[in-house]
Amino acid sequence: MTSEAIRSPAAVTVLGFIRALTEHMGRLNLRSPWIWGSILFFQASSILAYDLGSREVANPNAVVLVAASFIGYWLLYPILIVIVDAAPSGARWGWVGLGLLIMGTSRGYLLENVFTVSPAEAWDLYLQRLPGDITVALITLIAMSELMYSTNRHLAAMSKLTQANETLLESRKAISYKASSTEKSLRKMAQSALLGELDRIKDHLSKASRKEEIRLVADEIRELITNQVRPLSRKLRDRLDDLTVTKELTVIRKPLRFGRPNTVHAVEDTRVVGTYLLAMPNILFTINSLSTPLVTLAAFAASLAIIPIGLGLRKLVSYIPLRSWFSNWLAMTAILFIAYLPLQRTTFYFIDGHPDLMQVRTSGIGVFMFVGVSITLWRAIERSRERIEGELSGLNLELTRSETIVEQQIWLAQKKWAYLVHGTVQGALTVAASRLQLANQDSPADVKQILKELDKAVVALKGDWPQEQPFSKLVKETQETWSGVLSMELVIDKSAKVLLENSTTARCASEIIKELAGNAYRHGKAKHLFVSLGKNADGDLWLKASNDGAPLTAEVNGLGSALFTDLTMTWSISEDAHGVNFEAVLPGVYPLSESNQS
Amino acid sequence: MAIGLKILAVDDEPLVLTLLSETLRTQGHEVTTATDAATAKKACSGFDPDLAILDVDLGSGPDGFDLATSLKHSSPTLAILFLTNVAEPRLAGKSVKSLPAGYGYLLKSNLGDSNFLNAAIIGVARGAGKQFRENLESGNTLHNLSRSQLQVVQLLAMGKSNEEIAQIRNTTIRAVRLILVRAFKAMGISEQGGPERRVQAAIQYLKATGFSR
Repeated sequence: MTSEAIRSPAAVTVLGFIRALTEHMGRLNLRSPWIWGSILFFQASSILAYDLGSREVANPNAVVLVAASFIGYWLLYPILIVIVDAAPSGARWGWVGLGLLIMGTSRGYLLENVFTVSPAEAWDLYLQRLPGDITVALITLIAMSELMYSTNRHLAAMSKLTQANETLLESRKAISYKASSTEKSLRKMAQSALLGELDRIKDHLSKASRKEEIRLVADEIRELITNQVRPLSRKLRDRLDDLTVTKELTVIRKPLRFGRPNTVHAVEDTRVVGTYLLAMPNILFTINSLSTPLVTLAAFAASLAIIPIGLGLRKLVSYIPLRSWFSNWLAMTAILFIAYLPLQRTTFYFIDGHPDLMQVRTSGIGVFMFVGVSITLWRAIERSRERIEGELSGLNLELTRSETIVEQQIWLAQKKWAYLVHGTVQGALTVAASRLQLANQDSPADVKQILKELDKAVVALKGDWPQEQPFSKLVKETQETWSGVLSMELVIDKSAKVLLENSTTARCASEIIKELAGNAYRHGKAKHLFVSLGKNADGDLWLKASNDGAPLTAEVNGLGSALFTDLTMTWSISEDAHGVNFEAVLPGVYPLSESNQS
Repeated sequence: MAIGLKILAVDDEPLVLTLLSETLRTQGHEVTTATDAATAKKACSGFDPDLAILDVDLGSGPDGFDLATSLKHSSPTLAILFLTNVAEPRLAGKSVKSLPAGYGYLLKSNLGDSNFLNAAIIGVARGAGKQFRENLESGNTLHNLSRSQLQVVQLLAMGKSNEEIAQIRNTTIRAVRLILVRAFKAMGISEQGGPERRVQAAIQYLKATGFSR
């Protein structure tokens, strides 16, 4: 088989082909009904078509001999399985090949006894047919190994596709689950934990008059921070963990069809060179055993015509729209038959001197058909796998996008939570407690003022989440903060502007830029940072940045990289003579509307 | 003796900022305030402060560490005091080495002790910031962790798997496992704990820090 026939990367060179073939042969599962069924079918058809179909039976014990040839083979078959199982993985292919070859060819001696009563003559005939038998066994072995290998790869791809479908569904579910409930329930959680406590403290404060009572209220506020506000973070973690738990998932399993021949173009069905190289040695060996080397040479010369004829017919077929599997296979049969005609004609030219050559007429077509069908099937399975892998690649991209969106939502919820609970609420409580503490030292507490501050915590808990700023404002703040230290140039492609209107994307992109600016100066002492944004072919947002700072340090693997991992689908940092470069892709397709996110 | 300093106070919470500026003015300092990094940067160039008191988390814009670095570059003599709810800089994901020299670091709970706060301000302004740095209390189990151990435990508390942590740190899963085993030991978590050890470590981390940033 040529590199045209096997398109695995390892098969580009002869050595690569042999390596791939031995690897695939070593993986052959002899227990598979596909394998032993194929061998059985091939044995039966070769006896009927080649041996009994065109030769005269001479031995009265022919039935016993034929039966013995079958039974002997299939008694040895389980022993071969045991030997192969026990062999080291690297040597399995040798045992498989040798075993099937010896078992397959040794049957020939018993079969030759069917056509003669003389064991010596049978031995001579057997030696003549041996090369033909060896090539048939090899052809069968190669075809089975490649078909089985392709089938396994196909099944693995199908399994991956199903898994990807399931994960994608889970991921989508998580997003919609998050969108509909997370932020609301986080606030509810904070309200139920803090509002009652704040009312209680306000009540105590309005009733407190003595210094000791006021001190007790200050202690109460500090306890509230320690025992209620901080532990809320743990609850938040649990709540966010819920996002990854998927409930009552309906998994849609796509029906996947296996190796359909009609997916293969007729031109590929008729791989003339591959078919020729595999089938022809067997036919020539058979001709040689039934005639003379001169006839074999003539047959070989004639057989070369198969190449131009086959290629011409292939080209012709490529202009004919053949859609059904039947049409494809019909085309293949017709091409093989026509391409085989010069060889047939040459063989029959010598038929008067060598009547046994009549057998080649059917056996030759049989071998061609077997090889052609094997190649077509193999190609159909490979084509089907390639299609599945293409679909898988698309799903993987979508999956990465969905997962990143979930990560972004979680990250944003954490930020908002931190801003509300640990910023506004904790800040108000800290200020109230501090005022009470300060009052103890200097002057009487302004209870009204402190109650107002506690009210601000209540209002923050009951109000809306803080609104996200537009991208331009967020980046401007970073630019102004670093002014005089690091000059920042920002170029936004028109196509990216729409994507940056999404508040989540805008916030995530600005956080990355913020981190890049800090890193550029802090770690590389850069003076200039150039940032550009655009939309890629998949509809996602790309962000590229380069600075003129010093080369990278180990800090690259710090927590900044955790931020990049959470907020982007892919990211990378590299360096060149001019400085450090950063590239990232952020999901640009949002299945949720903006209203769902606030 | 009261020393009147020019102080830039930056906090995104107006209530905190009001109390802080009131307290500072009472102590005889001249104060200007800002609620975000960009405004602070502008204010600094016009006001020329002796010291900047910065919150770490300043909302959606650059944080207090970035602001401090930028301010220090423009005004090398400026003293920096962080006043924050983040228990220590490492917990905000920043290496102490990358912070401006001579910085002070206090928790906001000190707002109620105006004398101590003032002593810290004067100390930091005089270059004795090292004496006013709050770290995790010595009784805290995170106190014993090295920088890399703390970082891995932080990632663990953020819900990352060993594989993800290895990917983020650009190391092997085996290396992450080894760091975690040592971290668990330093945190006093039993070796027999199995997967529970991760949960215990995350809880200890969140308990100490309040939040996984």
